[in-house]
Amino acid sequence: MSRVTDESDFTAPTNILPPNGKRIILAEDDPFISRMYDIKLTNAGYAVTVIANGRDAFEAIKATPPDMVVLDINMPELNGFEVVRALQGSDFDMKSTAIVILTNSASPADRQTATSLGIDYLVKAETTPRGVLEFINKKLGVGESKPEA
Amino acid sequence: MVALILLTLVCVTNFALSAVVLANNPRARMNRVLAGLALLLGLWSGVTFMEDAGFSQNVVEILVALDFGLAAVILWLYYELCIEVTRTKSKILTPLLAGMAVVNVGLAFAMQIVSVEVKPGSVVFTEQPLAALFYSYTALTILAGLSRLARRHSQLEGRERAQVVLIFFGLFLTATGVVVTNIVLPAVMEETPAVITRLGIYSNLFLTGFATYAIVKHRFLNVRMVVARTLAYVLLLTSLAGLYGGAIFAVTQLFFGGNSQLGNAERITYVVLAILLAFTFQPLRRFFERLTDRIFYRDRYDSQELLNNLGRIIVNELELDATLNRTLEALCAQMRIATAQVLVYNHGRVAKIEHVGALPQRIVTRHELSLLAQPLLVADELPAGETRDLLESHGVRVSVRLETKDRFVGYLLLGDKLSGDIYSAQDLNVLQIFGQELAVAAVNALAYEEIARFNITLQQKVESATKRLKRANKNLKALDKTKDEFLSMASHQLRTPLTSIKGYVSMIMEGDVGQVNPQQAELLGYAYDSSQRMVGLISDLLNVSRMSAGRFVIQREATDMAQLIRQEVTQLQPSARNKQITLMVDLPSRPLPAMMLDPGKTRQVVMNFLDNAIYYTPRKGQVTIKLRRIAGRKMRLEVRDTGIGVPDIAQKQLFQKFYRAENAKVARPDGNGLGLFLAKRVIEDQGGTIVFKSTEGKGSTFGFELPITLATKQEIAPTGATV
Repeated sequence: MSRVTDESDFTAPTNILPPNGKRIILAEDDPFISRMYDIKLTNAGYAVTVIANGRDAFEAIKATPPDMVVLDINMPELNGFEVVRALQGSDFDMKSTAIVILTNSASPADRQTATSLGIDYLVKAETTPRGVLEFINKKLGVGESKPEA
Repeated sequence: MVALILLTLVCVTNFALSAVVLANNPRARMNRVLAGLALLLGLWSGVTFMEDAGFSQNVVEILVALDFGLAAVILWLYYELCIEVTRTKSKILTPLLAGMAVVNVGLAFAMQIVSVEVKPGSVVFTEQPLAALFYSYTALTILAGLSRLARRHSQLEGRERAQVVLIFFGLFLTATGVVVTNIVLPAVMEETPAVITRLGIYSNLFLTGFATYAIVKHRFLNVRMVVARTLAYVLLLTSLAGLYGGAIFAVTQLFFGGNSQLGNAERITYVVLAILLAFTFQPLRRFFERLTDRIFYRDRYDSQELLNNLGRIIVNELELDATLNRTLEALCAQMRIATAQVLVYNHGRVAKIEHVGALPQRIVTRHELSLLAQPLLVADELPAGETRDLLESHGVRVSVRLETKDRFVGYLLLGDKLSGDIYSAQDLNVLQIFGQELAVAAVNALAYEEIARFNITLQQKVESATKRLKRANKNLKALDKTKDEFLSMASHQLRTPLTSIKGYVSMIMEGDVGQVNPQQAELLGYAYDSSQRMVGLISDLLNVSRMSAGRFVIQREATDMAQLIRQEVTQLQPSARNKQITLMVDLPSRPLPAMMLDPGKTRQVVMNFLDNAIYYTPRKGQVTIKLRRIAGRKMRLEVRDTGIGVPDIAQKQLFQKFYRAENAKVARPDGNGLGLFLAKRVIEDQGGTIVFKSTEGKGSTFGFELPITLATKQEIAPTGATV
């Protein structure tokens, strides 16, 4: 949504890429976390929509299916899994959109649920925004992001 | 001849009765009185018979004096017997009659009752004036005795009544016989034939006969067995005498025609008869013994067998109730006892009462119990008194005190026999032996019960303690669960802000918001390392709490080991760079297949190894991570460092929960001692083994070997891209 530009005191970001035309819906209720991934993914050229609750995310995904959906598990209204089930239960075309659970739950049960729903599963604390970006790039077939300066 | 035989029978019977009665219980007054009576009656019969047997005047006078003297004493004894049988006393009559007896004995020897004159062919008695005194004494004793018996008769019941009735008739008939033949008839008739006088003698057979019958049938005295034997003997003697005498008579009459001269033939006959006698003696004796046994011992039993039987029960039963009950039943069945009870005391109190038949009235008072303090009490043999009254009032015929060498146990109290018979010497013998055995058995059974009770108490205590422990354990488990939940929740809560810190720091370092200079990069690197360490720490805590809650489960999925290592190296590269540590990655040239592993936990292990290696290696050191496929379808991971190493002494305990080597504590005071413990668990739970080599001061190698479990294509598909 928002791009960090060189209008601040910072020296210009070194790894800002032009828009790549891919849309991502990021469902995450923690503003610090969503802001973090928003910056990282936007800088990498993605068009990111951040939504803070499960029901709105479901509506938004259904309204205009993005290329990628990144879902937290614990969210108001509907949790991440419930959003996936709701999508699967509707006429939504699951094949056209990649879905990944991005959570801090290391619970084996949650991992098992993701596996059974046929979706990917990332643990936030075990990776970095860059790790998430690399995963999405690979998933969507976008060229490797530039190595760190 | 017939008269002589009858006299012999009378005398023998009386003497036998006397001897038996006295031998049975010389101390009991009843026995002494009856024995004296029978003895004197026997003597008197003999004396009276001899009066007209053709002796000289002097001898006959002495005999007549003896006759009346004995009669006076006999009458007195007869009265005493009535007193004993009825258990009554008279303050006036008793001393009066005793005095009259003495007077009459004096009169008899002074020849003041009758005088006697021996004439050829007959003996003439002449009454003296003082004879009236003798007659009145006679009348008084007989009437007093009979009236006493008659009065007592109505007050008694059952066995005792039967006894009194028999004694009454025995005395009555004897008295009547004697009075009529020796007093009334001589007084009425001018000349009394000797045969009539003798009839009086025989009449005292009534007394002995009835007394014997009372003894035998109604427990008048406990002399049954001896009486039986005596009777057998008397019958034997009588038969032999009859047989012998009859044989001689017949032989003399037949062969010698009344000739009294003894010839050779006669002597031979005697020899033959003697031989015959010797031969017939034993069969006859056996015959009569069998006969009497059949009459007297219809319910005879074998003492040894009964005792063995009781002994078997005692040996086979452990519990007191069963021991008492079964032995008592067996005893009563065998001895045919109607009622019996056994009281067992423990610590001065009645611990058990078992009984057969109707429950008798309890003997309770201390005084009453003290009366029973004899090893064996037989009611029928006791003199009249408190003890006897106590026993009889409680329907007890025999009391056996149960005691062991050093302990009083209780009482065995036996009631009437079903047959109404008295307890025989055999019974009492058996009871005494059985009493000793029962006492020992009761003591053992009490001890057994005490142990059993103690066991029960112990068991109850254990149960209640167990219950308390279970409750405590339940509480602890609940508490532990709360703790785990808290830990889990806290960890999750911690993770979110930590993710932000770590994420933003990494982004700044990566230049997402502009170039960072080397100094900034160094400081950000420290911040990043710390946050990364904290991520590991939280994962460890989560895993430990899962482990203790039993929720530590290996969840296998297709995992690319090489990729996992590359990602971890990427994660820790900044830390290594900060310490100027060369981090070398040595992966197999041909990629390993995706393996079924728990990616999260395995990742944690790799991270732990790498993090430790970097942390415990001094600046400018080297850390090498090497992954290889080895023989036996296994892969081996090694993280080798040039760090401080693990002291030998710490190596064995290194993988224990919370254990930390001393040098590690110095180098890293905030370590939690969980990383290696978890690593071992994670690897072993996946069927692998930990690799560990170390030399203190030179460096360590940590790693693992895991079997290669190939994932199917299906399993690879959904999670193939797991980071």
